[in-house]
Amino acid sequence: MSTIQDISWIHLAFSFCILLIPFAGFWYYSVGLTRSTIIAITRMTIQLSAVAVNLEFIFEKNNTFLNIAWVMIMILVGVFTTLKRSNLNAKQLALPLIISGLTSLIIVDTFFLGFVIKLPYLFESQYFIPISGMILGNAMNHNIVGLNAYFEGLVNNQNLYYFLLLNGKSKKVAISPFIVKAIRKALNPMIANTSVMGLISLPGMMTGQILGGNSPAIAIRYQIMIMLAIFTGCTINLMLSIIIANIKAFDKMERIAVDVLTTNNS
Amino acid sequence: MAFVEINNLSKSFGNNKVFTDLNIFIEKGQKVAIKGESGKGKTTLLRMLTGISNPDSGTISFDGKVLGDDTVKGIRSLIGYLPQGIDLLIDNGNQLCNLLEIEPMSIYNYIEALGLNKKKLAQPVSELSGGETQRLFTAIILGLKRPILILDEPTSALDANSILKLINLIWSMHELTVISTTHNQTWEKHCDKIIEL
Repeated sequence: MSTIQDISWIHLAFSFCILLIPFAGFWYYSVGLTRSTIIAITRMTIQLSAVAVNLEFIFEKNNTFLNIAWVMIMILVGVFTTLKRSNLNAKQLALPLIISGLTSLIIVDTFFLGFVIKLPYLFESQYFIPISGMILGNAMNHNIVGLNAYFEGLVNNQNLYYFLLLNGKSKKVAISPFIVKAIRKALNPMIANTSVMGLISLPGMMTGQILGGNSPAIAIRYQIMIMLAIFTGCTINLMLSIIIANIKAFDKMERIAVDVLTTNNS
Repeated sequence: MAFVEINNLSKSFGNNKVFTDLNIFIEKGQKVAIKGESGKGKTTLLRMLTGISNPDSGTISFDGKVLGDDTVKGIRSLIGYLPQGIDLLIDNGNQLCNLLEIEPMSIYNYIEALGLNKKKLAQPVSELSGGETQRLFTAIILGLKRPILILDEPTSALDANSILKLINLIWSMHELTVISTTHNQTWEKHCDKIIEL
């Protein structure tokens, strides 16, 4: 296998020219997305460049504390993005979500890095950071869908919750329709995506490994492992987020604490 | 000591005093109607009876137990509750039975007594009329076999004939205590006690 062909900065800058085609389409149909696309691509370029500088440093040092600190930053960014995009109360729910993210990562990273890949050093930056990042990135997207569906469902359909609760069912039974709906809504797209992987989509990690010079056989094994890690990590993270957030979401008489859940504290 | 006691209950929303020092005593098996104009606090009172809403002062007790953090679960296990405007977003009656852990066969007699066919249990709620939904859900709640029923406007979607069938069924259960809000005179006329807010 040959090593990857480098892209020079000039050639990378040249690659932005391809955007003229979608922009021409936006202009022709008056879509109004040109400005937001330019902002998004500029942000992506700056963020990835900054991350690249940081990761170069972190990978070079390969220091346990630094690696863990970087993953913690990823968890925090993921949690606050989730809370913001789900319109949930950050003050009340940040800690439950941080605990959930951290716990899911400890379980999944320990299992896959320690027992499947069998790394001699669990916090090896080359593995620990990208794999944790892939789990957290995916978990964030699914948590946004799942938590939004759960808490929005609970707040907007209080009638069903109270109907079950007041007719003598436990809180666990009364919230179960909302949990089932939220988990299905969050995980169904991932299950559908997993079932067509390799047929319709070639996943990023596998493509990256092949471009990096690894054999497709190794790339596929890693891809299968990462899909299992992502699925397990997302599921644990979402379920734990709901379970731990529920401690704050209900009062002693098991009434929904609407003000705790939403950013609107009226 | 009465089966259900409301002692010196007060509730206000901002400057609006809904009621002050309300006292109600309900004996076991009594059928009680709470009446009053809209906005007088009928639903608020039912919400306080079920522990969804807190009073500003006063106490509510069921069978000698004062409603509070420690007793709420036990008290709710005595109650069957049917809210007003039943928009529960469920598929059909069977699903509701399943959620409430009721064997559908055990409520066929209630469904028929209310003038419905048992097949209505499997029919999507979206295809039922308001009156059919109200009767079906009432039958399901009766299937819980609780000693106390709390009903918020139980006749709101029913015609005169259906109201009489509901009255016949509920009044045949002599041990059952019913606390209801109502605007319906036929229902009110049959009640043992009328509380005007």
